[in-house]
Amino acid sequence: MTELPALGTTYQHRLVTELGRQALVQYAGASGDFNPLHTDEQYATAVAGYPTVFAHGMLTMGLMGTLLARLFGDGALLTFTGRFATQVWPGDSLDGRVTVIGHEQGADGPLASLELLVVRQDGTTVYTGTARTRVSCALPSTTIDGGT
Amino acid sequence: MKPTTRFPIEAGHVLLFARAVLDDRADYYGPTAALLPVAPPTFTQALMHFQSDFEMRPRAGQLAPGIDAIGSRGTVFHAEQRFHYHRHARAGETLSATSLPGRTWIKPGRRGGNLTFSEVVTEFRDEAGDLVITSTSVRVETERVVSDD
Repeated sequence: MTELPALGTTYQHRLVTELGRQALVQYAGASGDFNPLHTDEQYATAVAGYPTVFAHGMLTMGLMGTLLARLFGDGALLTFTGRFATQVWPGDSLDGRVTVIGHEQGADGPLASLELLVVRQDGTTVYTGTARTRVSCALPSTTIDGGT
Repeated sequence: MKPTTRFPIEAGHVLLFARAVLDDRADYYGPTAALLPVAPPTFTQALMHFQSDFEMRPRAGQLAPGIDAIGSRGTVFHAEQRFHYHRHARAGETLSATSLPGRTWIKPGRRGGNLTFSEVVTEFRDEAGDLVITSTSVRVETERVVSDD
């Protein structure tokens, strides 16, 4: 039987180092979200009045989704939520933190409730969220690679 | 009748999306990759590719998409997102997506004047009509440009 991680266990992982504009373009192409705020420097600055382009909020949430898939496996999530606190700019480095805040035995096996956080290099929180997930694989005992 | 968008989950598209969310696990790449991988948890966002009226898509004869939609008086942001997974989608199946407006509310903002929030709830169903994923998107419209820099 899978052992559930202790309450308060936090997994931390580097999601991206110095986010490149190519990553914004790649996300725009894959998702279909071609909002020029994310890909067109002239539009973002001259028309919309921002210092430069910024990342799709869903790119940040997608990076958190990748971390959750690394931790819990594909198809394990029951719910996944996020709030976008402020913009993520090109050059930002992001760390994801996943904290276990609850667990229970579900009908099909153990479940964990998670608190999610993404912080950038200056310590600013850019994303907060929650998830409920099945726990069917062995989890690392502390942080996984790339954490600081 | 509610408009429904056909949303095929294709293996190549799943791979491109996995790359875009910087997922380099072997599930998606190389000789051990799954032929019909499970779609990443936020993959349903790519529904935009299949919405015929999506206003941000570049089109012939249009200089820059979205300028009319966004304007310069304020900005529409994605403020919040919630997914409820009844099960997870897998490449090779085709889902039907139906979107309905949810709640709307107004909050005074600290940086950008009044903030108008509005929800869109999208249900993704499989070929049997069973619910697969419910996606709730909360958008916020600001009265002015906001930035933390």
